Amino acid sequence: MNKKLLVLSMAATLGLAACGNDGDNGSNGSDGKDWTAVNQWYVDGQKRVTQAADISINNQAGAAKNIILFVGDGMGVSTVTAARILDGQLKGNTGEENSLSFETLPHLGLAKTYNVNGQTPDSAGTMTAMVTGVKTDVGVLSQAEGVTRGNCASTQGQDLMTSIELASIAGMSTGVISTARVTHATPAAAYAHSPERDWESDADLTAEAVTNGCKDIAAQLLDYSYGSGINVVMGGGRRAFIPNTMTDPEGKNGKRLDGRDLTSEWTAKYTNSAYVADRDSFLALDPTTTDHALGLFNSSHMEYDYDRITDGAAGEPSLAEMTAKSIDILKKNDKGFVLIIEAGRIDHAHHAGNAARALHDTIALSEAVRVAMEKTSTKDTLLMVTADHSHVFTIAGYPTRGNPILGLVKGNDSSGISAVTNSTDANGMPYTTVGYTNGRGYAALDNGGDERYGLPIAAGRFDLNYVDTQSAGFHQEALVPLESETHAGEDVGIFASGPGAHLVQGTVEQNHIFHVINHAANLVIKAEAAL
Amino acid sequence: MKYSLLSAALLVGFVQVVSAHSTSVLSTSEQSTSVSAEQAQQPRSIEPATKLELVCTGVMPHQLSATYEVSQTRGVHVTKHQLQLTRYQDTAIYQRSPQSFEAWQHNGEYVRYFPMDKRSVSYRPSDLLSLNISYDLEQVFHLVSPQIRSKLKQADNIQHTCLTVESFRGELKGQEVSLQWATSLDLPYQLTIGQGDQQLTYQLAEVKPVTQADFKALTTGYKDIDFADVGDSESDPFIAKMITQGFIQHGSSGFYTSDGQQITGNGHSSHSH
Repeated sequence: MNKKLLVLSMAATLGLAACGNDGDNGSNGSDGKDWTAVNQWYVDGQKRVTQAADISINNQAGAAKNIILFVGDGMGVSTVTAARILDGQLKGNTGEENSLSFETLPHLGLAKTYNVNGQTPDSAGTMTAMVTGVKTDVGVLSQAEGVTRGNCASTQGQDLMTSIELASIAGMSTGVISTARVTHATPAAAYAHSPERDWESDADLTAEAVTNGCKDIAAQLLDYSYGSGINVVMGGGRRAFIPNTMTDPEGKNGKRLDGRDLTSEWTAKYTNSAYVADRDSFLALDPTTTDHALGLFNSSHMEYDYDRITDGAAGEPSLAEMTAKSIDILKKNDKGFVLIIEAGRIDHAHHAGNAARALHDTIALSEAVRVAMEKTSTKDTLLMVTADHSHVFTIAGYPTRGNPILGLVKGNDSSGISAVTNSTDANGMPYTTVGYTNGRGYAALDNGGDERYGLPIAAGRFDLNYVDTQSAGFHQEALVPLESETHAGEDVGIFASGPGAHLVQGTVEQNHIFHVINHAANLVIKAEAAL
Repeated sequence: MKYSLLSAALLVGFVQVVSAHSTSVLSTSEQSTSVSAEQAQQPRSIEPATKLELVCTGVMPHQLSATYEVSQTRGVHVTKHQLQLTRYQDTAIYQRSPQSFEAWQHNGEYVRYFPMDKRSVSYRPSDLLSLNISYDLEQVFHLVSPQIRSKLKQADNIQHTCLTVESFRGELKGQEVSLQWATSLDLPYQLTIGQGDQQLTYQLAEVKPVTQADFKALTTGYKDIDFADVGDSESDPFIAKMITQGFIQHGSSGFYTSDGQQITGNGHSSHSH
């Protein structure tokens, strides 16, 4: 940019009226350069900067009455990008220009996700960092790195206080929501302490764990004794809460060996409490009269949003619906609330090599965040959206603008115009925009009794000329053949708004998230004052 | 294809034997059946299988174990293996090898069992959807779905020991299909797909009643994991092994020559698409 253009651009930025042959009449000015506000990209850029300039920062400790932390399990940056494009394309647009709800939040940073003993992490270690402010080992829930995974005896003195526990002690309301089992690693880290993420019910405990007095995760949820207890728990995982002699409304047996029915214990333990197991019962919940709600909508994980049904015993609420109901229950507390919400199945779809379902669940998360944004105020609510870790999911090739994100790459010709034919590789075969570095690989099987598991893991390239790569069941190709696609180790985004959101800046350790929350809500000081 | 479901075995075996087409001859999306007059007028008499041991007394269709001899003829090459189908109430179990067996439930859930490790992996219907696995439960529970039977031309019934066998013949997707249906078992007595030196045959060799205790003994004592949790269980030695090796044998090498020809790895060369 030469000096003249720079000066004039600055003038335009400052809102000075352009005149003469500077292009404000729609032409490109006397020097042939389009440097004025006739270009929409330019105007949009100006607007965004103006919006950013207007953001005020509230640096006061404790300025946030409420905290909402969204975690997209496995929602790496490439997943956010692809979901943004798919969301836009589902709305009938080209897609790239679209924004997911949380992409409009004003503050953004990157989190380094590694665990103490893992370059590429798991959900237990990463969520522990986010809710306790301390990094720990792979597979460990809210206990410090001094523990040996799976060893109960090693946990003495290693428990870490979580943001949920501190909030309860401080008299705030608390909630944990997930589309995975509520005893699964990410939600469990908020309220449980365990050297092994897999100890979800007492049936999962080892003899050593029983001998040394470790409790299973579901039992820890019921035995939670801080403040007035957890107010809202919603998600899947019913089987860890009922005995193996009990059959749930969907015909599934529980897993507990100790005979405890933790769902009935929940309603017995708390006043103004409710237990719901399907969407109809969930919708009937009155938030004005319910102070403690337990919702377990599936024996195991809730369904992918793409497959979710809404009616009958198997009916499940959406993540957005659970978010809305939870906020309505929690906001009754004048002292505020801390709510942790996980979109837990993005991760599972990626592990299966099924990008479509991963992206649809990401869009469902975006809807849940939108609901939270609408139901709260940036004046008193710190809202953060992040991921625990990424996946080896890529957006590749040179597709033209608006090319279906789940489709085959179709690039531009030498004139920059969308090509008529698909781009091809060195073997002359087309390829998809999104793919995986490892995993099960290609699968796009016909109806009629064919099935995936009678067939080998299929790494490498396949002829996709006549394959519907946009079908929800399509498996993107993978380079390294593994039964299950893996997590990835790169940083993940932290999107934030509200008091303290400005503290999300730069590239930070993942445990920084807890400390931002702690500063914004003054959790430790409030908890200590309440003791 | 020892690890495959029945449907895949039928499909893959049939495809390998008969044609390069990827759609199962037993799919429910069949076109109309044609059968010649000669075929319709000549019901075949049933030759008892060499090892046939039918125990009809006390055998109920929903509580039985049926053993089939599966033979696949490719020219002069004939391969054989056994399939044991155990049906108890809402569950059908397929056993083809000591390495693994599979269970299907009427609600669409599917479980793979690994007896040597005493481990199992459960797949919910949504898992199967995400994996693009389609299935026909009627076919799973009966080897041949009623829809397929309805597309075949029925010939004379035959009484064999204590079994009444209905005879069906026809042509599906250009291949001859011969079915001997044991009505009281709700299973095929014999199924042959193809003709001449390109054939796949299922021959009932043994059937016996199954008690609840027998059935439970098959599936108890296994440590189960949801398929959705496999990806987060890399620290589990069994799962780690399976993540590396696959629940089935490796397939494509993923390597190609400079002219695009696949360099065959260990195991199968590719899908049959």
